[in-house]
Parts: sequence; C-alpha cells; structure tokens
Amino acid sequence: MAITQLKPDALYQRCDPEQFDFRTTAELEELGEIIGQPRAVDAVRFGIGIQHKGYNIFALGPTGIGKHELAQRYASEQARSEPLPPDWCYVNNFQQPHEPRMLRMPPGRGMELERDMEQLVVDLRATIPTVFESDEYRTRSQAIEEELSEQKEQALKEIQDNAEQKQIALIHTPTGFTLAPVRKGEVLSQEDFESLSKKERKRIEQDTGDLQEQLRKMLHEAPKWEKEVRDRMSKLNREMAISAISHLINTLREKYKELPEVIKYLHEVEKDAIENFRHFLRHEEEKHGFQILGIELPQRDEGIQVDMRYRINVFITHEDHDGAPVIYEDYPSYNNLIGRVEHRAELGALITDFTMIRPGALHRANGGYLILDVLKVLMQPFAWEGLKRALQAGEIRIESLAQLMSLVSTVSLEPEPIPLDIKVILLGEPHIYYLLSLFDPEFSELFKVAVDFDYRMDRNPETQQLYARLIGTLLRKENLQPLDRSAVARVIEHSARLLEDGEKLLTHTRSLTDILREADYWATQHEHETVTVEDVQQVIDARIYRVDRIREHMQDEIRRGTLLIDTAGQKTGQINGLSVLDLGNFMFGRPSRITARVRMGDSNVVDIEREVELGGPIHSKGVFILSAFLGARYSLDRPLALSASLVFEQSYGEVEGDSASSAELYALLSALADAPVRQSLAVTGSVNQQGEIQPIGGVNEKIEGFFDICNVRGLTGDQGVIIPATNIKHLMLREDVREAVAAGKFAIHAIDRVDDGIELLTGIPAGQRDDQRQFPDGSINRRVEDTLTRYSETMQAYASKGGKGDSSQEKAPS
Amino acid sequence: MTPATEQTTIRHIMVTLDVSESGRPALETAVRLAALMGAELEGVFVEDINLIRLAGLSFLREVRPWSLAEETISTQRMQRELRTLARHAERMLEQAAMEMGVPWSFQVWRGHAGAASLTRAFAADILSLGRVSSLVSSRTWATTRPRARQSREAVTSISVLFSDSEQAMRAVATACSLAKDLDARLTFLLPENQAEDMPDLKAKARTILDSHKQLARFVQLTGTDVQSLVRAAGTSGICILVAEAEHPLLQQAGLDQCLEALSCPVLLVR
Repeated sequence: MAITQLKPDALYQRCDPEQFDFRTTAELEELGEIIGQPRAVDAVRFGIGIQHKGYNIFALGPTGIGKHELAQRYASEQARSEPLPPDWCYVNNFQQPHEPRMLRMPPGRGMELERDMEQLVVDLRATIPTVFESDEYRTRSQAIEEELSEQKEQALKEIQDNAEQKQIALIHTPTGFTLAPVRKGEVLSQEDFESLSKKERKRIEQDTGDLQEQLRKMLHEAPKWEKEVRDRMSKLNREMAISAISHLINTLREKYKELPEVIKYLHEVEKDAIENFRHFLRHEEEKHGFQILGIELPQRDEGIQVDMRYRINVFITHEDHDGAPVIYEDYPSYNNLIGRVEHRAELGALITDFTMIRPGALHRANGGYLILDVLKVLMQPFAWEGLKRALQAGEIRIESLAQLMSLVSTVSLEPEPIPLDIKVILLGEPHIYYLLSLFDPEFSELFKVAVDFDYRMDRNPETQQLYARLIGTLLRKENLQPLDRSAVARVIEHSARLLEDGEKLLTHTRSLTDILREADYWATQHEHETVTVEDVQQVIDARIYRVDRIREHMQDEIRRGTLLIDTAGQKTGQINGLSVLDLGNFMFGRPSRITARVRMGDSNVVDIEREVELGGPIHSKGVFILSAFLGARYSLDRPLALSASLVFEQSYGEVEGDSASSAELYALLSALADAPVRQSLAVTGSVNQQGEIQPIGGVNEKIEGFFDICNVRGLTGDQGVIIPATNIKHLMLREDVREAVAAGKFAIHAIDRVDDGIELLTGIPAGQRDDQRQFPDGSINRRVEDTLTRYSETMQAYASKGGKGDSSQEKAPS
Repeated sequence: MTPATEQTTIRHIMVTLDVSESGRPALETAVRLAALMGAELEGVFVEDINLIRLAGLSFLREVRPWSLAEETISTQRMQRELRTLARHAERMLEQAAMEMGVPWSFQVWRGHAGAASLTRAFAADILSLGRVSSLVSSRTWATTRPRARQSREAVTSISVLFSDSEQAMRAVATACSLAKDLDARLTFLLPENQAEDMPDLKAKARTILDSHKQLARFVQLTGTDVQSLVRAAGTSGICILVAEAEHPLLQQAGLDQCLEALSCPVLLVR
C-alpha cells in the first residue's frame, strides 16, 4: 500500500541557472555537432559511407526535428572529399535525330566544347561560302555546265544540219518537239505537201522518220549526260567542302585528342557538314520564310537547322562546384526529378530537338547526393515510380509522362540514358516509412538505411550544458538576441514540459527555434538587450493565451454550473475524471463527471460511450478490463451477476484512451460498496486486471485543469488530484499549482494500486483478504464482494424459480 | 519634248505571252512599265501558223523531252493544246496585271510567229517581246533541260540602243524611267559608225540622263550587225533591251536573232 502526497519539489524538475558558468549565450562556443541524435548520426554516417546499390537513406522523424540539416551536413562533408562528377552533354545523333547521343566530358570541359562548336559553326559559315564563291569553284563548275551545253548543242546541231540539208526544221510544239518539212522558213501545209510528187513526199517522210529517230536517240541520251554532270558537280562540291571543313575539324581533333567520345563525335560532325554544306551557303534574304497576311513565318528545313545541328547541349556542368554535388529538390515532380524534353510551337505543331532536353534533380545530383522530402515525392504523380525505376536501372532515361502512359504516339525524343551513381536521402515522417516498408516491396530494396530521429534526449547537468550551447548556436544562426542564463534555464524547463517529461529534453529544433524567435520578439518589445526569463515566460503565456479560448469557455461554463463538476462534498457512484482535449497545437485538461449505476444482471459492465459509438477502442478496452478485474477479484467461485453502466456525463464528443479507467473503477466500487466518494478529488490513471495503476499522458494538463476549477471556486485545502505514481517523473506543473501545493491548499496524490485510490477517495480501508480469503468486515472490498455475492445468489434463486419475478435489483447511489 | 511629256505619250503596251518560265520576264517588264506609265496592257498569245500547218501532216510524230514518249500529231489536238496554253497565258496576264493594278486586255493572234510580223501587226506604243518563234535553235535546247524551273531573277541591268533619232529619245526616256523604278544599272549602246559624231551623241545622252537624274555606262558597238549588238549587250549582263521600233538592227530576222541570242525581253518603243 503506497499513497504518496507529493511535495512541491516533486512537481517540477527545475533547471538551476546557477549551474551555468556563462552570463549570456553570446559567450557560448558554437555547437559543432548534432546533439541528442546519436543513433541517427551513426546511421547517416553509415548510409553515406557505404557504397553499394540499394543503400539509400530514409531519415524518419517528425517534421522540424532537423532531418534535413543532418542529412545536408553529413552529405556535404562527405561530398567535399569526393571528386567532381563528369559533365554530361547531349549532342545531335546525325543518323537518328530522335535519339540524341550523350557525351561524357571531364568536369568543366562541356562548356569549353560548347564554345568551340559554336565557333566552328561561325567559321563554317564564313569559310564554306568563301570556298564556293572562289574563282576556282566558279570556273570549274561553269566548265562542267558548259561542257553539257556544248554536248547538247553539238548533238542538236548535227540533227539541225542534217535537217536543213533536207529542208526539214525542228519545231517546238506545245508539249514537245517534232520535225517538219519547210520551204522558205514556212512549214509545208497539207495541201502543199499533197501537191508534191509521190517520190518527193516519200523522201520527206523517209527523211523526217530518220531525223526523228536521231532526235529520239539524242533525247534518250540527254538524261545520262545530265546525270554525269550532276555526279561531277557532286564530286566537285564534296572536294571543295572537304577543303573548307576538314582543317577546322582537325584543329578541334587535336584539342580533344585525349577524349575518344569527342573525337568520334567530331568525325560525325565532319561527315555531316560535308554532306550538308549547302546549309552554310544560304544568303541572309533566303533565310526568311514566306508570309501569310503580312506575318512572316519561319522557314523549316527537314531535320534540325544548321544553327542547332552542331550545338552542344551542356546538360550538366560542374565548373563551379567544389566536390560532389549535394542537391535538395524542393518540388520533386516527375519532370523535375527525371528531366524533360521541352517543345516550342511552330505553325501549330510542337517541335523539339536535342537542345531542348532539360536535366532533372537526378542529373544534377548524379555523382553525389540528392535530398528529397518523401511526402512531396509521393504526392507528385509518377515521381515515386520514376525515382525507383531510375535507382533500380542505375540510369536516368528521360521519358515524358505522355510517353510513359502511352497517351501520345507521336515521334518524340528518346535521349540516350545517362548512367546513375547517386545516394538518395529521403526525409519523412515515421509513419510513411512504416507504410512504405509494409506495402511497397521495392522500398526495402532501395532504401536499406533507416536514420531514425529521436524527439527527446536525457536531461542531466551535462546535457543541459549542451542544450545551452544548442540554444546559443540557433540564436547565432537565426541572428537573434542572446539569452541570459535564467532565460536558458526557463527554456530548458519548458522544453521538458513540452515533452511532458521532467527527465527529458526536446530535440525538436524547429519548436526550440520558434520559442527563441518569439522570445527575441518580446525582448525587443521590452527593449531588453538580452532575452530574460520574463521574455521566455511571456512567450509561453502568450502562446497559451492565443489558443485557449475553448478552455476558457469550458472553465467558465463549469464555474457557472452549466457543466456539472463538484469540487466539494461526497457522492456515491460519482467521481471526477480527468481528460485532455488536444487542439493540435495546444492541449488542456478538463474535469469530467463519471457516474456508475449497478444492479443485478448478466450484462457485465456497459460502457454507454461505446454503445453510442462515442467511445474509442482503447477506452472500450479499459472498460472491459474493469469487468475482468471485478470478476477476478470478487466472484472467483460464482457467476458475476452484475449489470453496470458507466457514463461520461455531459460529454458529447468522442472519448478515447484508457486514462479514465481507474476513475470508472472507483465509481463502480463506490456504487457497489455504497460508499460515497470525495468530490474534492479528481482522478486519472489507467488500471490493469491486477488492479495496478498505470501511467497516462497529459498528466500536467489534467492536474492544472482541475486546479483551475478549484482555484476559481476557492481552494479549500481538501482538493487535489490522484495520479499514477509512475507519472511523478513527468510532472512539470505550473508555478501557481506548485505554490498552492506548497501552501497546503491543493494536493497531488500518487498511488500504485486501485486499493490506494479507493481508500483515499472514500476514507474507508480497502481491505486485504485474510487467511480464510475473507476481506475485513466494513472494508470497501468486503462491501463490494457482499453486494456481488447477493446479486449472484438472487440471480440463482431467480433462475431456480423459472424466471418469474423481477430480476433486477438496482443499487442506487445514496 | 520634255521627259515628262515623253512619258505621257505611252498609252498602250503590247506584250507577247509565253507560258514557259523563259517568257515570264517579258510579261513582268511590260506590267511594270504599264504601271509606271499608267498605260494599258495588251497581252497577245501567238498561235504560230507553222504549228497549225504541221498538225495537218499525219506522218509527223512528236517527241516529248520529259517523258520521252512519242505520238502522232493531229490538228484537233494541236488546236486544243494551243487553246489550253492561251487560257493559261490569259490567267498569267490577269494575275500579273491585277497585282500591279494595270488595266489589261487579251487576244489570241494567229499568224507567222516572227517578231517582225508582230511588230507590224500591232500599233502599240511599246512592244514587249519575248521569244515567239516555234523554230528550235541549238541554244534553246541546250539551256532548257538542265534548268527546267528557272528562278526569277531581279532586273539589275537595262541596256538601251541609242541614236539621235526622235524615237531613240523616247526609247531612252522609257529606259531611264524603268531603270529608276527597278533600281537597275543603265547602259547606253552606241552605234559604231558615228565615231565623229560620238561626242555630240554622248552629250545628248548625258542631257537626257541629267533630266532623269540617272547615271549610265556607255558601250560602243563593234560592228553593224546583230552579233555586235549581242556581244555588246552580253558584256553588260543585260536583263532588258530597250530600243526604238524602227532601229535598223532589229528589222526582219534581226529581231528574232536578237531575241534568241539575248534570252531577255526586248522593248520596242515607237
């Protein structure tokens, strides 16, 4: 049996400012390490150090705990010692333009090649026209064309000479040529021809037939001559183009001779430029396209225009980097991760080429580290699938979403995939990690390193010193005013209060930073040079004030008697339970009246909250435990013939948790024992089947909630709260509560067992079984057992009578 | 007569229409000139009588240079094909005239296709002539096939046959106006046989040029035949030749030879 009335010093784990040997945090050395996360630090070091496939990192912890900072810090440290990754360029694939080729270049040389190729195009534009406008080319090409003309003229002259001798002329008809007899420059008419002698007519017919045959042969030969001329012109053109192009390419070959991929590309450029030398001959005016309604439309060539054809798309360059890249992608959409192919609209069509391939975060981080917020990745359509596919394949293949989903089947680019060597660090809430582990079989294969962040750390003199340095570091980082040591102590105490644990400290850096920012604000308002304890206290008070409207309303309604809570007197089957209302960023305790009614029956304990579906599963579990406890303790050798009902009076919302189970049990025991309960006490704590009191959450808010009601009504010295003894270490109570306890106006009782609680509440000993397994006469337990025995016997009697008569025998509170 | 009044007398321009690409410069020049001078344009499609005649000779066969097919010729087909060409020519004229806002008319003229015959047949102030004869020269053939679709080239050079006749002055005025409008280089072709009168002739030419605010190059012919004209014009990279209609070098067969050899439109000014 242990009932402990807690002394004021047990209600609050104070942080003594005198333990600090600094005056303000400005004197403190900056904290170089992350405190309170030894497990996470070891895990992240391991994850970053190990170089095997699938050893990507998932940092799990609540938002604001410092996952990003830790990941960024250790990844950056490691990255500085790692070599710069190569530059990646996309270049035209001259054979398959829709499959652009990839070039791997030493770091920084991608831009150099880009500049060189731009200069090459400028040089080609200058050199090729010069060569093709040279006297040499003009003379040689004209000679070839003249040769053809002469050949034709000669052939036709032969026919004309023959024809002239025979008084026949070659005539141009609307659709071709013919040969006709002439006299004095005039073609013979049919009449004139008929008037000729038969012999003459026959001769003319014979001659025209012969000449016709000669003409036909010549016309058949002509295409061959033209083809020959074209071949000779092509050969000449090629010869001239080579002379203009090759020496320029050779200069580049010499410059990039140690890079075989570039040499191969330059060879292809040379071949293509020679084949397409005409593109460099265009005059400025020919570049303009045709017009529609006065709007000039661009001229389209087949394939990529010469300005773009030899460009280098320096996809990724690391010229300015120091070591491997560490990239955080804030908006990890599919395109932002995997990269994309952009298009431009031309004449109603979407056009693209290799110069419009854009990198994603995977490309930018390739050879280094990529940090992503997993929730953002999961929220973006196909981003998670895209990320996993890239990690599995070990390469980044740029595909548009439309292609991926087969929404469009138009020809688009299929850039050559880029090999992927990356360490991905995902940041997320723990529940996402557990869900992915459970439902995504690939997740565990790809993210083998879990970095689990703890939201709390032990509180002792050493860690408090470290915490002070952490505060100093955060202040410097945020450029805030320093805290004096009393303010630091108050922050530490509040940190423990936020955790609901006097022996622990909060490691949630964002929450801590928010307190420091707000303290800085109040210090500025008060024109303090350093942040004082009053400023910190104002942060706490102002925060509560901003959000405690509902609490205030509830307390007001209790004070006005709308919500029925007794804080004095005694009642049977009625007790003050304590619950906590969580408003997201604010919790407060609220006393609730719990009542119990008992009678003979076979329905056991009925939880009315559960019956109307306002009770959560944990609450229902607590009530079922009560039935088990009652049966095991009081009805070992007979049926438990009890029908009891439990209700949270004036509760209109859902009730969850088992922290009221001990209060419910006390109400039941009070009703069964017909022993009134002190209404000046409120109770919290859960109970197990053995009757042991177990710890609960929100103990501080619960105590303060009841204290506030009592305080408003006037503290009598009889009032107090019964809490589980295991919750003592969690106490970080408000100063006014501590002062009331110190003045003997309010009491906190800590207990281990149900018997302690019922004794305290009724003032009647609970009673232990003696050697004959009997509870002492008059004890609570004896009275409960007697009632239950009576119920059982009555029930048996009723059963033996065949079910006649009234089966219920209610025991109303007196 | 001032240059202004010389221009106002041009009221009627005749152009021979040839639907082939080589015939287009004559049309374009005529349309441009008509627009410049506010003249009416008359297009003439010439049905060469020789073609009608040969169509009656049933033993003749036609060879087509592109398809290399051969076919006999009939009068019916020939007339149908000439009608088709005439319609095409009319459309071509209409389009060109509409573009420049020039009043136009069209007619089909059947007869001997010699340029001299045409000159006699039409009383226009200016005749814009292209090649009209059906007789094939070896040069025509040699340049037809390889450049089946010649691109339009800008008129960069206009030559004018100059003498001290009154008609020659009108021809010069026309050439000056055209050169100014087309921003073309002007060349004065001076006759060979007036060496002693050359300074006077040049002075007269310069006076006209000054009145038109134009500059010109002077080239003297090296002979008295058409060949000398062709040679002189060839050195100046001629695009249009302007001459008085009664110029001795351009009478009878000389005009046809000139049209054949120069492959550019000839403007005859009356």
